[in-house]
Amino acid sequence: MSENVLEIHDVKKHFNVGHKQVVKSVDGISFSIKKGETLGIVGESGSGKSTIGRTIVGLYEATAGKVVFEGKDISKLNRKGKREFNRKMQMIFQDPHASLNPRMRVGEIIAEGIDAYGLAKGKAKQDRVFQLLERVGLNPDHATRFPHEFSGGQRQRIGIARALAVEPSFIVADEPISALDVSIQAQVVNLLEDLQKEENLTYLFIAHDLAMVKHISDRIGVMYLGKMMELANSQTLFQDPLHPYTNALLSAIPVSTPKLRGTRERIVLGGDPPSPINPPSGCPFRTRCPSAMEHCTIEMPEWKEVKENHWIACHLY
Amino acid sequence: MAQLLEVKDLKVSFRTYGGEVQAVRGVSFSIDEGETLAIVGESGCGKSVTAQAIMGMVPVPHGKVQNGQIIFGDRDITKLSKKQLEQIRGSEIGMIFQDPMTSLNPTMIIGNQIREGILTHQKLSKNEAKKKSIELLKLVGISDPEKRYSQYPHEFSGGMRQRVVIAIALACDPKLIIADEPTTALDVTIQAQILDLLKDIQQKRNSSIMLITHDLGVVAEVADRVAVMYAGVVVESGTVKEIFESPKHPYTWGLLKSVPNLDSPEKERLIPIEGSPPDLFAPPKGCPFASRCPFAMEVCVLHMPDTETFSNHHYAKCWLHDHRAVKVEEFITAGSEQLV
Repeated sequence: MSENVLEIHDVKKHFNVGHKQVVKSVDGISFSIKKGETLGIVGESGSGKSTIGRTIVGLYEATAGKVVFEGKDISKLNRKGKREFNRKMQMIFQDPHASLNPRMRVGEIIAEGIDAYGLAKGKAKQDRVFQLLERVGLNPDHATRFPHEFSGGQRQRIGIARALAVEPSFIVADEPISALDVSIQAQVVNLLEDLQKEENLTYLFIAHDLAMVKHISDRIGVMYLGKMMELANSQTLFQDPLHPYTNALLSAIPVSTPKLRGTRERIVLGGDPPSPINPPSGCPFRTRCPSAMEHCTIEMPEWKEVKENHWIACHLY
Repeated sequence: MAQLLEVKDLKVSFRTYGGEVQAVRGVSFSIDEGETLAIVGESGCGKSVTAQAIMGMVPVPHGKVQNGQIIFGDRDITKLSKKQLEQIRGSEIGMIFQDPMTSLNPTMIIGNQIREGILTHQKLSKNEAKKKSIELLKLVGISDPEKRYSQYPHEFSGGMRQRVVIAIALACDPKLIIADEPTTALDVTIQAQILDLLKDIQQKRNSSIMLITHDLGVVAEVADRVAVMYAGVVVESGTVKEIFESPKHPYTWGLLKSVPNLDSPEKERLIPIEGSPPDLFAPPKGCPFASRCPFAMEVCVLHMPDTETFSNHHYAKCWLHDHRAVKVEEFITAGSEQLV
């Protein structure tokens, strides 16, 4: 349980957007994930949380820095190693409507990975597809249907079955429940938790719903404008947040019952997040930070461990 | 408080290739002046269609208000002509849509989009209307409104665009603001700003808000009263306190239980509502929630329950509360206990 399955070191992903402009979607992020753990990543839109997920899976090639999976740098893998990496590392996408091929039957969608890796053939393959469908709470009869015949929650289950088909050990879930209704979200989250226990999976769970991230994650990282601001145990992060941005973010969560209305002191952030094309100098949060100092405009604070397992990038600490 | 809007037994259906969809199946509720009513429910439960009916905007020719009355002030909206409706829309009822990215015209400067409504409904000169638009921009918290007035929507961020949409809705001092998922497309910090803005405006102008949402947190934050919709029916309604603290309908129990509790120190397993909502092409004869309800009895499948009254405002449609139901106390306590 204690070894790191994934380590990323100072990873950057910059996009060239023309006119000699560069968007620094992810700008120097480091963290590690232990086997069987769930790391949650939260942040507002444009913070780079999806980009980091896609870079880890290998959909994007990192501009700089290293992604190390099971002790190997993924950019240095040979063909065979890359293939194995692609099998072990799977992704579940946000939009269950756009991420399934509408012209393929559900059984074919799930079997595609099994075929690609030659994991099973003929009857054994079919049995495996049926077993996967049952595992995610669908009916084996569904294998011959098309994606449009399913509801959003069911489609997300199909996406999960597809990811599981190649027996992965690591799953990046990019906003897997944001498109679903409240009563269905809990079903999918419970399924993900059960699968994690049974298959000993490691998750990177990307979402903007803070309550759900807290529920599912062991540790949580908070991103802002391409930088990691704070990373801690999920209990610690919610009870004892250190970074001013985390504080503001948590204070913006709506109360859970009307009794608590007005009890939470809200830290209102002025303005909007700055454009990632032209981020502020120094700390990217300084333009909205209630405790910004002069020093913040000059230098990006160092990423340091201020308490055990509690990392933060802020000049206040 | 005086009643501003009353919806009585509203039924709306749509003709499609697959048959007739009964999107709203007998919905009744009312909104008082200065009050915020939240309509909560999953996608497809008919909450947006109800709002469309109030605005007289049920898409024709496929959609049709089959039955019911919508009394706004002293008029019945369902009986008004197109022209009369146009006079009400934008002047007496303002609408805030979900997606600020698509509800603004990308080829028009935002100033003209705000001014448009003012010029249509009020006898003001173009210059006076411009002045008023700039004041509105200031009211919704947009800095440097004179400069922003002549910018295009793409020059605004999502939160700013939603502020512009709110400014348009407020342009003619509407008595009722219908906000259809106003914060769903926004980040949580921006959501907090917009909710604060709505509360603030309501206090200043004493307008009523009908807030359509699926987010119980938003409801807990701003609503006075709540109507919970399921499969085209209001299954429970009451004050926000009653709904959160003594809910009566198993669907409301399920909704409240399926969201994680931020304040619990232990990691608890979520309790989802199993199954999925019924098909409204052929809605069930009995209670629409019966197939997913852990407390369902035989009668639930066969007959639609009557409305049971618990207090002045608190109603629920559930057989568990019928005086003939067996062991009703046990059932209800069982449900409520799990809530805590």
